[in-house]
Amino acid sequence: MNGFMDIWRPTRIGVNEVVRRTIGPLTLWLRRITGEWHLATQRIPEDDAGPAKAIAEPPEGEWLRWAAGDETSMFRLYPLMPDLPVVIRPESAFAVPPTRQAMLFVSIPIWVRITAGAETRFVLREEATVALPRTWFGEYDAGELCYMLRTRARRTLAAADVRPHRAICPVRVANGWTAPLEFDRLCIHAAHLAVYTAQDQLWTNEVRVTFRGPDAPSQVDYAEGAPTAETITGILGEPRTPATRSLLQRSFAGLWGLKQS
Amino acid sequence: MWTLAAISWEDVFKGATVRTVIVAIAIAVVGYVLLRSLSALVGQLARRRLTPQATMLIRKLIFYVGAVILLIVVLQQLGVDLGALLGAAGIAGIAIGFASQTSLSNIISGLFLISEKPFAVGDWIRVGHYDGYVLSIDLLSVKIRTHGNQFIRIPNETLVKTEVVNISRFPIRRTDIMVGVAYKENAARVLDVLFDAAHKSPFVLEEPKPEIYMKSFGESAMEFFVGVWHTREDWREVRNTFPQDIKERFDAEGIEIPFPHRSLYAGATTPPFPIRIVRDDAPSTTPPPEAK
Repeated sequence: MNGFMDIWRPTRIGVNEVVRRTIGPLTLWLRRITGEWHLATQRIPEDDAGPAKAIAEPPEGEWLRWAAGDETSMFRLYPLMPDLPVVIRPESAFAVPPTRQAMLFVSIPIWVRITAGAETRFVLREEATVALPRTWFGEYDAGELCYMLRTRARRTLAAADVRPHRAICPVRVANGWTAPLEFDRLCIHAAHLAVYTAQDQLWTNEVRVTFRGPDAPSQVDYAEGAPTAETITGILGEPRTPATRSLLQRSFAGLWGLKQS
Repeated sequence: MWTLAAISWEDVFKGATVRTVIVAIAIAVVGYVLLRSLSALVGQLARRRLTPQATMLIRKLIFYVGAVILLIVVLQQLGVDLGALLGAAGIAGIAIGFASQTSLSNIISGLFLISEKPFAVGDWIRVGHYDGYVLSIDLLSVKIRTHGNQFIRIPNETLVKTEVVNISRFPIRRTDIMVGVAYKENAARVLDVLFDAAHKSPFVLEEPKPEIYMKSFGESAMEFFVGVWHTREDWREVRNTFPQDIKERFDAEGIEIPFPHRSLYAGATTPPFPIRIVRDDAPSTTPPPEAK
């Protein structure tokens, strides 16, 4: 098995054969026996992930099992965005002047959807490549559960955390208000993002967030199609939830955000 | 009963014949069926827009008002002179009013609860010594199911007059834990370990940030306040796992949680009390060493 794209291609697996795939910190093993599919996974700390650290053997006794017919021997992995919104923080505090915009590059760890079958696929499981901590975005009496990204959003692509198990999400922040926009947290509903490939790197479609004032929800637009920043070779993962053309969501948190009591 | 004995029932039902009785029965049966259907239909429509409690109230209102009207129609069909009955009803009403003060208070309290909505069916509430999940909010009382699966009926009047804590009202909660640490430990290091334990727990939210600080100098230990936020659904996991996480981290870091202890002194400048350690295999008659 070699090549970044080989991980995401349909693969045939024989009876009693075990196939191992490593996507960053996540290693998964698939095994097919007569009438059943078996799956085992293991995750190591992200900072320890690397080719030399790949886990050879699955953990003992931790196989998940699915009853399935023998009509298919194909399986396929798909990269997906996380199942909750993600909260990101810019690498350093900065302000966006009125009517201006700023570009951020966010590195989001992907989830992997494991499917079996060819024409008619069924989903065995979804696994996160990185166990992200959960956080609350909103007020004490209303808000939403999100993942907190530990890596910061960068102003340049070169500074972004580029790794095979992370997708780069371009975020364009526009200030449609009359005062400078200062924020230290930004919430992105990643379920609306698709995953594309470009030169062995994963990308998502661009997100445009327009700030309309501290008392109004922001206008969020998810670009249709691949980002223009890179030469995209194809789409790998569909959005979990197709986005409507424009959404109104609370996206920013700054001085008016959660305050400790 | 003397009010009923004072009524001349022959005069009351003087207009009744076999035919009118049959018609009255038919009106009662058909009317009852229509009334139940109407109440159910209105309930179905109201359920889409209103809370279950308000829906229940509207259904009961329609049914009971309709039942009174139906009763009047049936009595008129029977040729009953309603005037004679109203006189007796007035006196009976006073007696019933005195007897049903508590029930009326509960009903009125129920209306306040329905309009104010301090809690809803499914919420976890605490009232006095009891806490549990709300099963239903009825006209006279609220029923809850405790964590020990006991059924408790709480009169509405009690709920209006006392404090009710709605534990599950908001989507996130904070669980507070007090931890005592030996005085010999470094307080700054203890804080770092506690923050790290919170950070590593899969159930503790990154934000709102945990509130962890040294609260007081206790008799036997430094008292640390640890307040961690989590979703209301994860309260049980946090309660069950986080104290254990703290203990395991303390053990790994060599941080002591002391037992309560006392230092005894005979006086300001006297030496400590002499003690003698007896081995398990020593005879009980072993004399103590001579005091120096």
